[in-house]
Amino acid sequence: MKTLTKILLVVALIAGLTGVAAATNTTQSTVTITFSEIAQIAASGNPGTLTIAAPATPGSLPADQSDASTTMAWTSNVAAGQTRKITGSLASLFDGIDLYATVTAAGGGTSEGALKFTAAATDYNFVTGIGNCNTSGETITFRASVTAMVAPYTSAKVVTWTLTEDAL
Amino acid sequence: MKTVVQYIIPALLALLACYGGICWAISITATGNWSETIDASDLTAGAGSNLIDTCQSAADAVSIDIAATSGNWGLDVKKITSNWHNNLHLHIRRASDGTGSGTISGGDSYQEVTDIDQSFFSGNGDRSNVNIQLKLTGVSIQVPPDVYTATVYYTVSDQ
Repeated sequence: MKTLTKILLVVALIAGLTGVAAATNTTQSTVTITFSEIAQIAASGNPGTLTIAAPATPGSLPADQSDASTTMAWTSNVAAGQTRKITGSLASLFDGIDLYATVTAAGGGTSEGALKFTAAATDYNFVTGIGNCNTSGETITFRASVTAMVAPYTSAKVVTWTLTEDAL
Repeated sequence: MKTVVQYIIPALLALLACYGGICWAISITATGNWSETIDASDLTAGAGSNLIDTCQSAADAVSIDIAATSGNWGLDVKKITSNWHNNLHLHIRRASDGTGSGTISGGDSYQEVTDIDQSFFSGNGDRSNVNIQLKLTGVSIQVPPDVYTATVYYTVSDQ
């Protein structure tokens, strides 16, 4: 009986030591990172004045005038499967002049080339297919094309650029 | 009868206690979580720029208590993610020694938290209020908008 008791005690001791050696415990904490949607756009400033000069050849219309002194920058992130676009809108049309614009898209998206502001206060898509990207120094080129001779005037119009969701 | 009382009953109680985890069950408690929102205010220079590459929590984002120790112990860390982006890397460091009668060492430089247990820091005896700081790298505009979550597991073991 004493032998059995000793064996039990040894077993208990070993079990106890084993329990000590293997004692572990676990706890946890949570890390939550929220990436918000970002749609930031900026133009570097106002283009130079487009001055329509007299035509070189009498009887013809004045030559087109261009300005490429301004640039655009944008940063965009979108959910999977979605894209954004940059639209431009001319507040009101010039008299006797068609205004065109081009925005390069070397850093993200697709430039739609030179587009005419056919109607006032209407959005035209200048860059499409913008995904997760950031780019700056994208050249904005304005071109004024005379369509009819009108009395001399000076006028400033506002072009509004918007980075917005592409239609799905 | 004397033998039963003096030897067998204590032996059986010792067995039950050890198997029941009563004897020297080291404990660990983590208090606090880290939540971070990345938005346009985190762009390095406004429109056209990228997001900051790195963001980190407060130095005391998580506080760990280790108690009921019986000597030396080691703490491992790992993460399990439920929604994550491959560009993102989570790092962790011990930002304070905490308090207590024991000692603590290691883990005071950032190390990446992976999906498998890795040694974080170790010590001896009970320690309380050990501050933990977390850092996220790989932040960029390439990471789509979403909520990314990782559960960080801290496992303490007697050594």
